[in-house]
This record gives sequence, structure tokens and C-alpha cells, in this order.
Amino acid sequence: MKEELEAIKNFLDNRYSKKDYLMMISQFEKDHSFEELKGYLEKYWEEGKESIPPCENYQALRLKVQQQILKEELQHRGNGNGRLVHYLSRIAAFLIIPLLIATFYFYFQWEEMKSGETVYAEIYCPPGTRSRFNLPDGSSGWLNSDSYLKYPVQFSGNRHVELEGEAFFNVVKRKNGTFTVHAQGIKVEALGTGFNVMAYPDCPRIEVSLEVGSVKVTRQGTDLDQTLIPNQRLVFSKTASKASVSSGDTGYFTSWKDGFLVFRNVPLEEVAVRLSRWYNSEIIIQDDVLKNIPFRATFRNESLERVLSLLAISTPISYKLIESKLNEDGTYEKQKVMIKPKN
Amino acid sequence: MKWENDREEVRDIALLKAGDIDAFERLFEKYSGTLNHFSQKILKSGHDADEVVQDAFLKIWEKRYRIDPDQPFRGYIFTIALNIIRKKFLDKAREDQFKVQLYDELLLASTEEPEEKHFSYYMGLVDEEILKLPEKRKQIFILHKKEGLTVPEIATYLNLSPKTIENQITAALKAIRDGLFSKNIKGLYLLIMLLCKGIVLKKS
Repeated sequence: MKEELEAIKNFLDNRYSKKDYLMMISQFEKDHSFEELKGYLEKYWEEGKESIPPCENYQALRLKVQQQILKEELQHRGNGNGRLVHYLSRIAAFLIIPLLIATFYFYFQWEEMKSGETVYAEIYCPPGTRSRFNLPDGSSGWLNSDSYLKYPVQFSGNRHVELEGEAFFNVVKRKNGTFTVHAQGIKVEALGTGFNVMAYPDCPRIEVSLEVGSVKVTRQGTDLDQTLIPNQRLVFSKTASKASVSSGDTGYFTSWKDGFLVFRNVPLEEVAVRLSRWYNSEIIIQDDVLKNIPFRATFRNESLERVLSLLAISTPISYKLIESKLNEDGTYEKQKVMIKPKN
Repeated sequence: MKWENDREEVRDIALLKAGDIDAFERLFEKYSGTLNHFSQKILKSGHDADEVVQDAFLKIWEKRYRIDPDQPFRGYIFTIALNIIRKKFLDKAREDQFKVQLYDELLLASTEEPEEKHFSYYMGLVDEEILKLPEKRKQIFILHKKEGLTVPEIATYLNLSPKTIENQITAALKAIRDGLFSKNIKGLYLLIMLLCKGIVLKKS
């Protein structure tokens, strides 16, 4: 046995001869000698340090073991165990999310190549906020409160975007290909320009205002085909299905992007809607008679209360702010405002 | 008892038996390094050692219901791991048989008396030398030495003349020998002696 021990020792120390090597093989091969070898190695294992710090590739190894366990546990699903499920979902999220993202990315890329279908991105700007956006072609713009903008992740040929709500576009000119905004059935086709489109579903009008360049506004199924020149504004009435064009400073209509809130002879009903959106609050007009009172004002960076007080000065209304209720989850309800005729 | 489980470990083993994965991870963290080190000592390959750690812990997870918390866990891991190591060692020995034969061939061609302990260095280096061979030569060499095909068989298989095959094998052998022995076995011997001394000096 002494010889064998010597051979094992030499082998472990990496200073072994051919004879030592062949001895190791035969020790491992035969069951009875394996038991001896086991006894020796057990001592070696025992004498080893109490604990060697995790190896270099510990994390990679751990991941591999986790993956294997996950795979096997999924195969034997059924002997469910809360903790295990929790763990599995933890690994699953950890491992699968990047994988999913990559898969989706490639899938979409591939699908797009395969079918020519387009992948869309969507921006939503919640009430009370406005945000700037940049499109993949270098065009940019502003999205107003409570508005959606849907656009292809990659533009190819003619550029098409969909809008619900209000947005100002600064379109970059491209040699081949127009830029088209689809909004509530209206098509606004532009070459390099700066223009504003307002098309909220709850608003009876769609408005297109042009600052620079030129746009063409059409609507399928109607004879609407209007080319605008700078400082022209088109108002399309959804109810009458008719458009009218007026000239003048369109700056008012696009100034929201710079933080201005501009009303030019806007009926109070619409003022209420726009203020609700702008300040993320709920404004209720309690008397129908008030709804058609025209209103004219410009605000910038004013609080809702200040706007209301100015409104009350220039129109025959009074208003009441209802104290916001505190919800169970610690958030406040939307600010509510009641508008009544002045006594 | 030699390897007594500390209290934390006793608790973790009980939790592991109940299917607690966090306890499993704690045990993995505690023992994977030691096990990796131990496996590498025997298998002489980092990749194989990693596989032992993986396979051993997967087995522990699979058989968790059967773990006896009163028995030392360190010993339990050892038993599981050594069985995995045994299989791997023997598989590898079979694959490496040709390297032992090659060693004999190379020694026959050498006039120098080999230093006994050269063998371990040879085993560690020969793979690198084989990898360095040009692609075609490497293929022929491996077919002949590792897969055990005869020269006429390889000639038919690769559609080359037996003479070419023979020449390629001779060239491969020469390249490996030159690489291993650095054209002079004494040179390697000196290098090894220096390395050993360096290690001894470092240790002391």
C-alpha cells in the first residue's frame, strides 16, 4: 500500500511519473482499490482547508446549476412548493428577461425583414405633463398632456406616425419620402416643416397649425385636400365634417410647447377640458348656460388656482375647489373644481 | 465525529431537505470553492472541475430528501463528488491513452534518459503541442494516434496517398517532440528543476 500512497501523493502534487499515473488509473478502476483510494482522498479532503473561498467563476457556475434545477423542476412540475415556485420565478426573471428582450428584438427585426411589417413604439404623455420626443429620423417635437404618439422604430421610405391628442412636430427634410401624421382620420402630410396637430378624441375639432414649410391635410372619404402655408390654421369640425382655414399668428396654438396656455375665444366648456388636462384635475361646469361663454387669455406657469381666479374675473363664473380626498394607499385623488354662475 | 456540522449548517440541511433553495445556495457558496479545488487536483482541468461542482450540487438537490442531517455534510459532498470524479477520471484516461503511447515513442527516439517526474509536465504540455499543428496534419495525427486508424485507412478516408499520411505523421511527431523537449531534453529538465526550486522557495 505504501507504493500506492506515494503514487497518489505524487499525482496530487502534479509531480508524477508514468508509473504513478498508471497506478492512479488502476486505483480508480477496481472497486476494492477504489475504496482504498477513497480512504486516502478522504483524509486529503479532510485535511484541506475548512473552506476555500468560492472560485473565480463561482457566479457562472451558480447560474448553470440554477438553470439546470429550473429545467428539471419544470419537468417535474406538480409537486408544488411555495418557496420553490418563488425561487423559480426569481431565477426565471433573472435569466429570462434579458433573453426575452433579446429574443423579441431579434424576432421583430426578423419579422420586419421577412414581411416588411413595421414595429412601433408609443409615447404617452399623462395629464398635467408635456414632453419632448425625438423620432428615429431625427425629427423631434413636443407631446401635450394626455396624448399618444405611435411611430415606427425604424422609418423606411415614407414616414408615418399616429397621433391621438396634441403634438407639435419639427420634421427633418428627407430627399425621398414625406412625413405623415395620422390623427383621428385626418392625414397631415409634410415635407420639412414645423407644425402642430391637435386631435383629441373628446374634442369636436381637429386643428392643424403651420409655423414653417408646408403641409397637406386630407381626410379619406371627404373632399378635404388643403395645402397650408405658414401661419395658416386649419380647423376641421368632426360633427359637420367641414374644414375652415384662417390666417394669422399661429404662435398661439403652438405655444403650449413652451409652457403657455393660450385661449382665443374658446368656449368655457373647452377651456375646462384643456385645464383638466393641463393640470391633471377634474373641472366640472355645473350650469349648461356657462358652457358657451367665450374666453380669451394667456397663461404661463400659473397654478390652477390662479388661472381660475383670473377666469372668474373675466367671466361671470365662480368656482369652488373641492378638497382632495386621501385614498387608502396614501395618494390624493385628482383635484376637483366646481364652476358655477356668479351670484 | 470528525466533521461535525455547525448549528447553522444543521439548520440549512434541514431547510434543504424541505426544498429551501436559499439554504441550498448557502451550502453551494460554502463548499463549491473547496470542491472545485479538490476536483482540479485530481482531474488536472479547470473545466472538468467546474463540471464536477455542477454535477455534484445537482445531485445534492435531486437527492435532498435522502440527506441525513446527523451525518457530516462535508463527507456527504465528498462521497457524491468522488463518484463523479471517478467516472470522469477513467473516461479521460481512456481518451489520453494515446498520449502515454506517444510518450514512449518520443522517448525511444530520444537518446537521453528521462527524468521520472517529466511525465506530469509532458501530460500537461502535449495537448498544447498537438493544438499547434497545422490543421490537416493535426487531423491525420489525431485519427492515427487517438482514434487508432491505420495509415491505409486514413489514406482511403482522406483520399490521400499512404506515403503522404506517413510523412504527415512523422512531421507531426517531430513537431511535438521539438516543442516538448525544446530540441534538447536537458533544456527542459533544467527548466523544470528551476521551476520546482522556485515553488519550493516560495513555499518556505
